[in-house]
Amino acid sequence: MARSKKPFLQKQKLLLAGAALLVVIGGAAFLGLAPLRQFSGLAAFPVEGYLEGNGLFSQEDFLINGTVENVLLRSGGGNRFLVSIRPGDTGQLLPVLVESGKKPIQREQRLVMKVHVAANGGIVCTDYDIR
Amino acid sequence: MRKRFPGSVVIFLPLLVLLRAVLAMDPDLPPASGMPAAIQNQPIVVSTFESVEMERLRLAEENVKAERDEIDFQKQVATLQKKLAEASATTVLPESIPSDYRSFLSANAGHIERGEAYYAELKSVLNALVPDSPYKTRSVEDSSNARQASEKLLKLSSYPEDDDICRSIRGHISSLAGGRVDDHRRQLELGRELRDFNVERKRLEWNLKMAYNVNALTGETGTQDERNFLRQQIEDVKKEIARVEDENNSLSHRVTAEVRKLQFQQFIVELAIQQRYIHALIACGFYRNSFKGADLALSKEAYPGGRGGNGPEAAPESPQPPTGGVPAEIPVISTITGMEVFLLNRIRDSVKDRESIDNMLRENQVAAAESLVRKMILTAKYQPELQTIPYASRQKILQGGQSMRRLADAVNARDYAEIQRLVAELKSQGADTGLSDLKVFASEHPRKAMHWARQAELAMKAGDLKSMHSLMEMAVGRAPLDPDVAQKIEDIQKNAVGDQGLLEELKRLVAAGDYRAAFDRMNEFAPLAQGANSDPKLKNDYEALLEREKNLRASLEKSDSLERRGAAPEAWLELEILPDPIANDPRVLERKNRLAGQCPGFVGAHTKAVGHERANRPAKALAWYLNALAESPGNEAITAKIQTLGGNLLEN
Repeated sequence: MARSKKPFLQKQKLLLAGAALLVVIGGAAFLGLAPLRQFSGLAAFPVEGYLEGNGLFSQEDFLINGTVENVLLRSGGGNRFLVSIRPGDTGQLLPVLVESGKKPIQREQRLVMKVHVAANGGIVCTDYDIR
Repeated sequence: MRKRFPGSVVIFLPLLVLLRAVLAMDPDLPPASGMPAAIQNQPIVVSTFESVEMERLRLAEENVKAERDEIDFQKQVATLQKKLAEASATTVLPESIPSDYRSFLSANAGHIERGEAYYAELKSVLNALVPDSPYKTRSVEDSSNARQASEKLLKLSSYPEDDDICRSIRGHISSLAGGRVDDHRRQLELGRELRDFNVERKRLEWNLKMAYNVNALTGETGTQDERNFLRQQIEDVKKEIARVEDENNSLSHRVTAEVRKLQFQQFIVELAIQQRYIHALIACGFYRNSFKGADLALSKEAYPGGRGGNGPEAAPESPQPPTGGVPAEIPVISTITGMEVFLLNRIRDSVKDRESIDNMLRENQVAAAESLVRKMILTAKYQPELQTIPYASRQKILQGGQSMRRLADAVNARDYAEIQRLVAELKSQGADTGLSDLKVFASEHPRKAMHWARQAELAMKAGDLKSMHSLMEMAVGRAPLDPDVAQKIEDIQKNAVGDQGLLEELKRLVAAGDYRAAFDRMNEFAPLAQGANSDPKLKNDYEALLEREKNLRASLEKSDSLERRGAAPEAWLELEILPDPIANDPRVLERKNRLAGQCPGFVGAHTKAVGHERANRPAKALAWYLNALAESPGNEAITAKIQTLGGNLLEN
């Protein structure tokens, strides 16, 4: 008796669905890691070293990947913010001066920031992306 | 059940509210642990320097008041002394009391009894002689009996109370009658002496005459010295003769009747002046018996230089005043009747006074009786009514006077307890002197003295030593014998001595900056520091110490309150921000350690933040303040710090 073609079609469907899923996941992963890829090559900000150390850092850029604890202050023009960031899993808070607010920053947002330590010891964020 | 429930709520809910209100009002009950205390810097009620200054001003006013009161007190004492002196002669100094008054009051009973006998005799003489005698009852014969009276006078001479007055009366009566018996004897003696002196004079004159002739035997004349000697002897004899003749002429029976009358009347007046009224009246009686129906009717012979009357009928109708050398018309002098009236009145007054004295003593009116006795001693000293006052009555007057004297002494000595006792004693005896003012005096001034003593104590505590001494002096002067005041003054003096040591301790304490002791012993030190006007630095330093402790206590209290609310970081921070001297106080450190155990993260973050801030690392300080705020969300002090530091960072 002649065999039915149904199982073959079912396998194709499954493969297609899996491929589509992979595409979706891959895209999502691509899109999700885009900010990280943007600041790839930057060293993570040494939180403990900053807080406990007495010396000033050089103009080297660092990466801070953390959550906005609070927007403390804004400058008159609204382009400069002073925010408190809780970097990664550390329990510490850092004050970060965001120089140009290209995107609005809110509490509890997760940010990836490119920062450096200014001459006065303040942490200045020159670029950031919202994750 | 459902219907009764709302009713129960309506009844018990207000009761519960009321109970809670009562519990909240009771200061002895501890505050409910569940009720948070108000967070505020509660004022601590202490005696400030302003209040001490007010106290000093008040004390100055008290001082002025005390001085004014002292003047009033002196016036009051003077008034009381005057009153007491008026109430009794014995209140004045013993030296100024007449000795006869004192001896009168202290006369012993035997003398008084003898005096009574003497005066009884004297009255009988008067009764025998004077029909109008106040001592004579009308039932007795009213004719005078001079002989009987004269005989009784002899008996009276034997009494010491008589002072030989009766003998003198008898002598004057003899003189009045025309000479005494002993005058004749003396006249014979004088005549004999006169003859002898004359014979002697003739002999000497013969010898002087013969001294000029030649002696037949010797053929010589007498020397000049012999003649002078004889002349001197003759002069001496002549003087003796003149003396004898003068004495002979002065004998009473040789003077005129008028002169004898005058002399006798003078004697009567002398007796009246001596207040011997009965004797004077007796003398008047004898006078009248000597010259029946006559007054002193002087004849012109009584006045060798003029003329007198010869009885009442001889009185000139219109006497002319004396002019130039022409003798004036002498009026008839009628003194005996007037004198008798005077004497009788004095005697009657004495009788009345004596009756009054007896009545007063019977009614315990001692002061009035004493006053009357004093009057009698001045005006009727030798009256039997006075001299026969019984011993018991005199002693009663004396004791009454002595009570007044003791009262006056107690007023002088400000012995108020003694005044109270004497007033009570006199009152119980029913004394007639008003004593209410003395009672008020004795109760008012110990109270005032104690008031000044208390003010002195306050002055000492306020450090006003000048006022203290002045008020103490005032208190002691007001009640020197009051034991309570004395004890109070002693306590003040002891404390004042202790204040010197306290001042040294205050200086040591200020130098050491011991603000806690300065506050704890503020009641002791604040007046001293305020009183140390010569050392304003000490005062300022002490004030600073007090402020320091007050701030510390306020912070501790606030910290406690925050801790009770569970705000340990705020409680720790309240103590952390204290300024330096008190930040290291053991009480603060102990609490801070305890609180740090409750919030170590906050304490660590804050400590580091402060460290970075002090090291001029504002960004790191801000970072640590953020971490501190995370430990103590909403902490205003930390928030403010973050605002400040963040603002600076944002602007730069």
